[in-house]
Amino acid sequence: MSGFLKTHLLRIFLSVLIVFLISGSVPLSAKDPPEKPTVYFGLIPLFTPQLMYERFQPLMDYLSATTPYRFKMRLAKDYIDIITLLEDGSVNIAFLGGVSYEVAKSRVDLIPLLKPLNPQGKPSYRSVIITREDKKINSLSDLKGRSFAFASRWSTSGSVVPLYYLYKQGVGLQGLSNYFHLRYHDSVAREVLKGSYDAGAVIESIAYFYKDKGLKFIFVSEPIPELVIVVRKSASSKEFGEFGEFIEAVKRALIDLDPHIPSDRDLMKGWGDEIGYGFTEARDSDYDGIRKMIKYLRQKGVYLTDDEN
Amino acid sequence: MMKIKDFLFSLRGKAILVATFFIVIFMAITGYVILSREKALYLKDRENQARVLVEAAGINFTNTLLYQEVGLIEETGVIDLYILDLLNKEKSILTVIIFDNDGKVIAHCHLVEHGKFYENAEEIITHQATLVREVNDKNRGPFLEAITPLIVGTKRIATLRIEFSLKDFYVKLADLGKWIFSLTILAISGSIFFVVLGINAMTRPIRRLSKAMDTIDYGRFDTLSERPRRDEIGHLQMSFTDMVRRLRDADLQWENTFNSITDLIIICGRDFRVVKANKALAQGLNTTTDRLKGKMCWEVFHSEIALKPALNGPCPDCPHVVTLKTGNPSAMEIEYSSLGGTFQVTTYPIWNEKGVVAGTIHVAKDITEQKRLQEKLIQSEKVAAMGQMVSGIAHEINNPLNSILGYATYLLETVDDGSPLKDELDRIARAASRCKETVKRFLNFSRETPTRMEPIDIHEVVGEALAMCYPTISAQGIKVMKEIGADLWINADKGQIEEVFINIILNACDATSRGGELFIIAHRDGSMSTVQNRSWIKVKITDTGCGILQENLKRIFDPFFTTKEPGKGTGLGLAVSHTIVKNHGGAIDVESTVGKGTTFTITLPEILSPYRGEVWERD
Repeated sequence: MSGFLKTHLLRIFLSVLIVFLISGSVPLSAKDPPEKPTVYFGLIPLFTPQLMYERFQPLMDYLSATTPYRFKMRLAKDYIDIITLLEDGSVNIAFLGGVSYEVAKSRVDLIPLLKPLNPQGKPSYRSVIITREDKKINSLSDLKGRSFAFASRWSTSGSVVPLYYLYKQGVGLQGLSNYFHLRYHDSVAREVLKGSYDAGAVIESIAYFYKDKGLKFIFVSEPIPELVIVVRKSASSKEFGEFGEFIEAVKRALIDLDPHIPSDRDLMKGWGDEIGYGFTEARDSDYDGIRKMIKYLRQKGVYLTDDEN
Repeated sequence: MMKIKDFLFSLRGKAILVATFFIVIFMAITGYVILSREKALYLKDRENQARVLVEAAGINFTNTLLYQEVGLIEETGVIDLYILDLLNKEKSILTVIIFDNDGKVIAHCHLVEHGKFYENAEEIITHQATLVREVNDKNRGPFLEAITPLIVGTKRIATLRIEFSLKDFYVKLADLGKWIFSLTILAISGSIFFVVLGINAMTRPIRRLSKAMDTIDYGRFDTLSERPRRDEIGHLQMSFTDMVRRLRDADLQWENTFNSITDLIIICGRDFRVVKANKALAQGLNTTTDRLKGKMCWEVFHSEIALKPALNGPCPDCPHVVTLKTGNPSAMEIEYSSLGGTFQVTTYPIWNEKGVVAGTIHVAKDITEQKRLQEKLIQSEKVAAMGQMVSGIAHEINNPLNSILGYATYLLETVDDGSPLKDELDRIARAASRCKETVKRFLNFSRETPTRMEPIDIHEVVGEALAMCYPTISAQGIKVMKEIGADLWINADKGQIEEVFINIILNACDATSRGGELFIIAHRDGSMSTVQNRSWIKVKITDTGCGILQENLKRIFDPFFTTKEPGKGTGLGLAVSHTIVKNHGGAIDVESTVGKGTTFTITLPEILSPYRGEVWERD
């Protein structure tokens, strides 16, 4: 046996030994505390997965720490996916947009629980139509004959709201040279910056995040009802113990957060803009405005699902 | 200023300066070398980091581009996110760009740059291997550029270029520079401190030795107080000690010689100050040699100057002055009041190295006694000659005087009592008698007169002497007070003793002004009887005259010494009196206070009264 082979085999042996020792010792030394029931928290794909984790994982950690449950984030591939997950009971609590709430509600019994507050303490946000600084587009009407990037089809601020205003402005989908629904809001912003599309529609937080990288805002919508945390009505008490207690625990944990209190402000520092300013109770009627927009668009021949065509 | 100059030229100062200079140079070079080396190492390290990062990122980008190409990744956001991630995680990254093979930007950390063509892209996309280089941009400053081709097999699909900031590198380098600078300064200070300590320690024995040399006092010197050392300085100490010992021995020898001379010697400078005086002089002045040092020479020798400040200054024709002027030895006989005598003073010049007389050696030989003896000799020779002459004259006069006296006496006896001649003859006889007495005195002075001893009553002899002096006393209006004890007898030549009293009384009359007083007291002096085993008679003749000057007092018994005007006194009276009293076994003393008067005391041995039939004399 050559010297090289000898050394090589020895290395492999040592590596295996070390891996064995480490893998064997870890479960022994790091014994988990008594298991809390795991709750999967579904999230609409607002942003790319990395960004989603960066912005929402702190909320999961917070809920796990302050409630008798362990929260795990369940990212959906797209808006349809999240509704499917709610339908089949893979997730019992989810974070939805106004439009996706409306769509999901038609399929699953949902209780609107909480809605986040914006920095001004209001339960609303805005949709922003963006373009690159160097483009000669300054109003919605300038968009005629231009290419446009929307976020996901069921995105409130990235699709339904901007469409509503485009139609109101008389541009409509027909007025655009071409359009595309990208999967995430941040993808829309980047593609607009790169020049792949002349303009795009994104959620307020992404618009501001990319603004200094070369974007300009040509339109900012009226306040839109906030995103909403919903709970599946049919979730069994087998999973949560007392279902009411679960709802109460989540509500209490989040409603009590107040960004005006320094300790809370510190706590929420790393949280995404969408959830970083506290929560308030949500009601179904809060989303009537969205329903009206959907209805309006439907009248214009724009449908949320292919079934509607 | 002078101190700094002294320090710089000192051995210690030079050593410290040289050491400091070399330390500073050495430390500066060391600091510079360390900094340069650190800079090179840092830069190399940064380059390696950049190389690893660009190559590792390159692999990722290659894969993403490939998956994108085959459609496995739907949206382009992955590369952009990856770039943003890189920028977020590695803060030193300034820009990340991916060029396609045509030089078009296909990914950029600044999304708006997407799709552009850069001028330098051509150069970037041609590199076949990873390249890391420092770029010094005029506007942006220095940064590190890492370029790596994204290659799959033999196909190049794109080129990745990452710019790394060197700002923190230069900040670190500046910090390191500051740190090294501080450390260098600290090291320099420390080194200088220890060098100064070391040099001080090394030169301390030299400085001590030099100090000891400066303060050496031959008189007290034995050895240097320094502990003997084993090094070169120890040798120096020993040599110096030895040298000083020899010097001291020589000095002592010289000093002893100088002090052994009984003549009075000073070494006097040009400024008339005493440089050195010998012991004999110090003893003569009842002082020490050290006290004389530095005094002016005239202060030493002429004490009268202290009384008369006007005289303060060198004597004009003093031998010291002459020698200073001429450069030749000079001699002179000088009376020194401070030393109370006459001195033969000789001065010898002391020449300095420039050939100038720096001072004199001033040697004074006491010739007072010699002078006195000389004078005495002259005096006695004079007196002897005078005596011979007087004796001759006295003999010549004596015979005719005898004839005059004989005939006068004969005629006096032959003339009648009532004869008018009787008075004249009596005067002749008395005058002749007086002449005979004078002749006798001359003969007595020259010891030619035969002495006729007989018991004499002091009372009688004083009375006769006063009678003889009466014309003078009365002429002067002097009041005479006499107090003479009873039964005071001496064995003496009556004429001679009478002459003694007459001499003293006449002198007193001369000294006393009109209306003065004269006391004559004679008594037995009991106090002396036990000592001499003999009884003495003291006759005190005191006047209220002008007194005698102190310097004349000791000379008044010298023959021919007189203070009277020429022709008025022979200067023989007191000399003769002194001889007479001495011949009678007695003594004559004088006390006088100028302006108050003079007392002569004549002391003579007493004898018992002849009328008791026995002589009180044991010898």
